[in-house]
Amino acid sequence: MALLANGAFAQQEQVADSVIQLSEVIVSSSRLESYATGHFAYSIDSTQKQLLINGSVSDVLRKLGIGHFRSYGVGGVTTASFRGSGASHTSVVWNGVTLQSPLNGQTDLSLIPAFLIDDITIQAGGTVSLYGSGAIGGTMSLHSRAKFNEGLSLQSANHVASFGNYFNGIAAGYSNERWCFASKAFHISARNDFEYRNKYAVPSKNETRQHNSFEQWGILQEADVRLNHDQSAGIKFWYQDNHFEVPNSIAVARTSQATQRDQFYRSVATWRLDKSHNHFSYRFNHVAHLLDYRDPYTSTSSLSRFESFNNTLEHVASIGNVIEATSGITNIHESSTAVEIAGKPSRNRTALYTAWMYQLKKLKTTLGIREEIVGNEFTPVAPSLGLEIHAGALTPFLSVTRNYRIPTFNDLYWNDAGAHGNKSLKPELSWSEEAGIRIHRKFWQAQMAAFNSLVDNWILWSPQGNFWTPGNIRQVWSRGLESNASIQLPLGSITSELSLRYSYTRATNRRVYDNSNSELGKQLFFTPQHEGTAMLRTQWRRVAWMLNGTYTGKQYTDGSNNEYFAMKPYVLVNSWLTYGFMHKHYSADFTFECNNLFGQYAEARPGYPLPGRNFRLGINFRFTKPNQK
Amino acid sequence: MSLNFRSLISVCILCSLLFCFQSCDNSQEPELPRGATGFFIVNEGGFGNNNSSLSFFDRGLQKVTNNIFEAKNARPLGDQAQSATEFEGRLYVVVQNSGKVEVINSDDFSSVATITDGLQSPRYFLGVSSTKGYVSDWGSDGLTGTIKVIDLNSLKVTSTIAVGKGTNHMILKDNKVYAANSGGFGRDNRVAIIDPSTDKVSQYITVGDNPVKLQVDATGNLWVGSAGFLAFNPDFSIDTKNSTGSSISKINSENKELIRFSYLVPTYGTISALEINKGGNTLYYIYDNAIYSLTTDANVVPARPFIAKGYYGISVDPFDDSIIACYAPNFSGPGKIDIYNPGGGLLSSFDVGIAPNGCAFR
Repeated sequence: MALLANGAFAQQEQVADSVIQLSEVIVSSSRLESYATGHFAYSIDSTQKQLLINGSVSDVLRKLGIGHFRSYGVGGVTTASFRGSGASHTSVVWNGVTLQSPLNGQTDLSLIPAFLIDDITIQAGGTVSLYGSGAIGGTMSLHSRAKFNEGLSLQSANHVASFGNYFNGIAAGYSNERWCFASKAFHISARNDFEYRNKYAVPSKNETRQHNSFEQWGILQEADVRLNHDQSAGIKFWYQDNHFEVPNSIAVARTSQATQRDQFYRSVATWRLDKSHNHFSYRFNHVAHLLDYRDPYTSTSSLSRFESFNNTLEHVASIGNVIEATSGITNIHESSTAVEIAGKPSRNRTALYTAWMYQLKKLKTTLGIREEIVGNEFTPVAPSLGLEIHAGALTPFLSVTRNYRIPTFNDLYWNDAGAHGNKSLKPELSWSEEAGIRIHRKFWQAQMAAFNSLVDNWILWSPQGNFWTPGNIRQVWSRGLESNASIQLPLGSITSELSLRYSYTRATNRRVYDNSNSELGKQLFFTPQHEGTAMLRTQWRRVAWMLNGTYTGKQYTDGSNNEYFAMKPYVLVNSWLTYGFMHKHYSADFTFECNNLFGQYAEARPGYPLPGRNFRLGINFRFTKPNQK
Repeated sequence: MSLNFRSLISVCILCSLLFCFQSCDNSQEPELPRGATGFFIVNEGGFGNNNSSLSFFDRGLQKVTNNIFEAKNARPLGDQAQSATEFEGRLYVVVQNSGKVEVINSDDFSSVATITDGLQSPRYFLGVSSTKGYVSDWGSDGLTGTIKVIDLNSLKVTSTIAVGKGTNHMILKDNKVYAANSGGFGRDNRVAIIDPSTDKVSQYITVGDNPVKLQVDATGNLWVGSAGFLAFNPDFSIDTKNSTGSSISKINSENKELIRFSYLVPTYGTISALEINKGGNTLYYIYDNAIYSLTTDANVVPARPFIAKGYYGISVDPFDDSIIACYAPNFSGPGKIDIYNPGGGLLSSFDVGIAPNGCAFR
């Protein structure tokens, strides 16, 4: 991890590093990201992530104003939504392992601590041809990177923050020319008992958030080995245990008693053979997740478990210097058990995919296609086309993709006294188009894209007769604009960078196939039309300062866009001050963070307040001893 | 520093984009139909989403105005509005999950008071006298049912009467208050009789399991709609052995059950409403995804539904006997009221708030 004292804007260096040292770095997942041509992409540089090492991946992205996240506040289930897409429309991939739950199709990002992840790449727009079912709104790729011949490193991170929030993490790594080991462990606990003004009370009054704590701990173990000059292998094992108190809305008279426990194992083993023009890889992974939700008030005790096994064989060929082709076959066997699901449903999914990248002078073209068989049914064919023209500082780009999402186990098989799944659901199906431009100048860069996406057969649950049941009842049209720009402002020994982001998202019900005609043409709820971020980063010697403001536009909370229920727009301003220190093999940095600087009242959703002004103090310590070379 | 003019312009444009997208707030206050003759529609909202609301149907204009509470009082109504009752110029809106009763002026919808003290999970209001009201409450566990006695002058809770499990709908008959113990999250099978002069339960009448709604007919009989009790097998099919079906009981002035109309085979769609026309001789109820009607002199339950469509709630307009059926296509978007004539013919439909569950008349 780049230390701030080494330069706050290490992003370019880092990227350059990984390119130059490609032979030194083993990327254990496939490099499918590089085929995502013609899409708007976000990257989170290591210094930004390092600043936010104590939280979850969604905390990092939310504070940096990247993407849109839906949650009920601090801690607890958080899902990403790109371009107005639904909670199950973002594919989250950890070292090639798909993390979406087969039960609900979602990935809870609050369960992914930033400490365990080396880098995060986010790409907006649908890319099912590369990532498979569910990648309709965007894809989030999370990686660990094994670096050989780095010697010994030890790291600790200790943070304390407002409302009884404590983070402790330790990491140890050792690598020589042949072996690379890394271990990480963390523990987070938070009471989250912040004060807020309850505007639902009459008259409004100050209260303290009740039943809002959480605790998480986990370990990640990684080992990689170079078997010989062209073969390598690696394993990763991740275990985590998470306890959340699930609070009520502050408009509810009762204090909640509901709790949720998520316990999971994720493991992946890879083998690679790298020949000069041919690369083969095999990946096996296993995911098991236990979710235990209890609410004594409603006598709910819902225990569910899912498990998936995934085998992937992939081949990458370089043809001349102009074509690179990746082809693979992947098989997923997923199963689940839940109190509300009869039997133990399982399904076998096999997909064939191929992606071709063709670089002819300034024109880069990618073509991808995926066909999947779920059980004995074929999903719709998902092709993709991407174009980029590298014309000096300007890179115009374009992409067209077809995407799908297969129904989840809950959608298909749920069965309790009040709700029944629907076995005749069809996959959601979308076409997405995008066109944009990237500008790269010496001191500034910008990126802008317009997008258009039509998702048909959108699955929603609604009451039908005596039961709730899901149906393919919406066609949703999303269109809009994403843009970002950054400019470097060097001034003597002070380096500064100003970054701006803005997105416009219009996501409306274009067709409704049930009886809710009053929702026709209306913006989807919890989908702001306008979002923006302004961020200033300044570095002077060993001191770095970062200030950012994120704007979240008005959000409707109901299907008819009722103004009375709409959530007001808000701006949250956060600031960080860091001092870095280095001595021989030792380095340390101290971070002071202030969130919601102006104590703005904001809600994650109606009745779920976000904390007011709050603080964090953190120390990251690192010892490195390179190998004698 | 090689910042040229073009770059500066680009940055400026992006800056202005970022800071100029404060969207215009076009929430104008709707024109409120003051004093008009009509009725209120209670929109329950999505559980936990704080989007309950009140609508008003103007009979003369044949027009619905939504969000009348928010428009007048500039604050949300709360979470899970269960019922509303008009009494002596005030509307008492019982907001269950918010644990409160919002009291508003029936004519101009302005807030009079918010009653919260001691309310846990309130369900219905009943005006007992011009100085006393009762609010039934399921209790914090959904089992410890009580009636909170409200002083209608101070609008404060003055005492609590222990009644049974899940105390629900109440009705005043012969100077006695009858309260249905719906079981709440459990099981009960009694209608309590309370003497409002002493605020004490004087007697219980045993009826079918989990009575939810009460009506009085033209001859003074009490009618009790009971949901029945559902027990489930591990696969959530109905455990018929340990379940009871819905039923309707007819009880005479001596508090004796005269007849019980019982559905012998329990279904998921239990009786959830019981309404009566202004002549007091025809009852309407929701059962198994349809509306049924039952005349007060009937001997058997009707074989066929009156309206074969699933509704979330019904009310009968005491003005013209039209049946107002409340439709909730989901719990996140607007519902509808369908107005039927007493013959079952659809007269009109109006968009209302989220999950309408019933009406209050003035």
